[in-house]
Amino acid sequence: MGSLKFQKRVVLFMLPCLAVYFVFFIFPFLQTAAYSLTDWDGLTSFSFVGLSNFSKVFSDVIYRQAIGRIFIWALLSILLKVGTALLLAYVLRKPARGAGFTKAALFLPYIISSSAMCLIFTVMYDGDAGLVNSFLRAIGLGSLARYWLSDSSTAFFAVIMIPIYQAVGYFFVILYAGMKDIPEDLFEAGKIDGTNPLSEFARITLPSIWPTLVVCITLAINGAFQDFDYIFIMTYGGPGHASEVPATYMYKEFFDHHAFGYGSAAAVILFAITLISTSITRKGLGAAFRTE
Amino acid sequence: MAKLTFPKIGRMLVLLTASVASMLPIYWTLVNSFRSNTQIMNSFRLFPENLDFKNYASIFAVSSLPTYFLNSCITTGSAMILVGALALTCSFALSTYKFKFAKLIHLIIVAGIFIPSTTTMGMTYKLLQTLNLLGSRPGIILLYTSGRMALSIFLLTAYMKSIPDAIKEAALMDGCGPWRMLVSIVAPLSRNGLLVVMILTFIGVWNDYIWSMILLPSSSKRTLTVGLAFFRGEFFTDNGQLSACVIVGLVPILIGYLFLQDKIINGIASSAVKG
Repeated sequence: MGSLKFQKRVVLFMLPCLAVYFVFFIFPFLQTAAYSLTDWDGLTSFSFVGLSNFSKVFSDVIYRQAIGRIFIWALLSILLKVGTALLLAYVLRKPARGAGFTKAALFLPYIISSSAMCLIFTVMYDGDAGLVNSFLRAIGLGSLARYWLSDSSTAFFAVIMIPIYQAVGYFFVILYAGMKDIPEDLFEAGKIDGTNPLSEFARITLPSIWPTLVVCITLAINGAFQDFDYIFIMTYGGPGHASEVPATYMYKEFFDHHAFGYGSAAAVILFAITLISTSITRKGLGAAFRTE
Repeated sequence: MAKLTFPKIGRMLVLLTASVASMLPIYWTLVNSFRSNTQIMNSFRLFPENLDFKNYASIFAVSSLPTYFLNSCITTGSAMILVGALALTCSFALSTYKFKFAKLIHLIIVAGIFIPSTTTMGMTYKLLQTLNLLGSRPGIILLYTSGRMALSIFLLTAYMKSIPDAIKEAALMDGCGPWRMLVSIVAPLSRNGLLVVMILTFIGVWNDYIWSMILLPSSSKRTLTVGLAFFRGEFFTDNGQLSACVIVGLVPILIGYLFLQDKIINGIASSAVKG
């Protein structure tokens, strides 16, 4: 007779998965941490250099600006991705004709690949025939029209508008589901107490979906720190270093300069910043409504 | 009735604006894919002048688009099967049998959700180079599989743990071995979880750009996403052909979305909240 206790055969069920996971995922991660302390060029032998890679990365003004840029990106992501999604979810939470279609339409951009989206926006940002400039000229703001991607003051923002645009539907779906779960009694109790739409939002809706909102904000920060394929495809960090982010910086160190030790240090720093920022956000914001 | 009209109209307007804004870029690209570059440069049209498939014909004749498309299908299909099989067997062992290290192994795997793949790009490249898997299909398929494992096992074990122990114990009484237990009890009862895992893998792998670019330097194995980004350089002057390329790349995702919309939306939303 069998049992749900451990038996040797169970190991066979886990072995293929664990092998693939450890060899191709965990091992390169540990290797990155280890090689960040060396001056490896990817080919010849290396020597340990202690923490000197880390101090070199930190003293590079290009990397520091790149770090600053992803924090701006994170802030804009929270405001525009999560903010727009929250607003839409709040407006559309009551049943209305066409809500299902809107949900499907809003979510559509999210499942499209970054490279297809970049191609679409390449045509949209075109200096002459692009939709953006045509629109500006049509409403009489033609003086603002420009080559968005080759202008160093707009390149970074033009690129990050693409993932921001794509992710609104994603956060909408999450927040919409969260709002559907708020019991109707709460709103009715609020009506008896005489709420207006604004106080209803602030006192009932917001506290109820707060845990979901914190998850969304954490995901938005994470996305801003990691989604570098848009920058890579659209500007490759340029013009100059005007749209450089830590991940494109790392890529260039690894694959253009073969600085595997130095690049690993930049990678470890980005990993640490991501982990620290998201856990601080989670802890800090998570506590906001706990007293209720 | 009259009192309700204003908020109702406002809501309708929001619905309409949101839908139009979400679909406009894709729709505009579809329209442009039927127009010549000169037509696109000269005027904005809501409908193409006529249904001209010239752009499609020329990208299929000149470019390696069909090869890239096939590569994407093979890579994504293999990764889906491998992720499904490995995550299913491993989650089964971790969630059904009670043993000392089950919790620890589960924790170590799930912790991988917090390791972004950008962190490991340099060393993964070196690893595949050492194993002689660089530029090969098995190499990138194994890499995608390992990258999807943390989230997949996290989701699948959650589904499997919700199967009552009584059902599994009844199966034991009937003399079910581990293999029969997986095939006839646990797998059928967690098929929704498996479907979500496969859908997420499909979207993630089909749309991936970074790994395909780093690990497949030769163009013969290149996937569609990287191919598309290359076209951005090649056809930079022809917006019509660029648009046609985009539409071809979107077709599989759009067909999947059309049929599995609710499963996709709910799957992605629930994986986010649980994660």
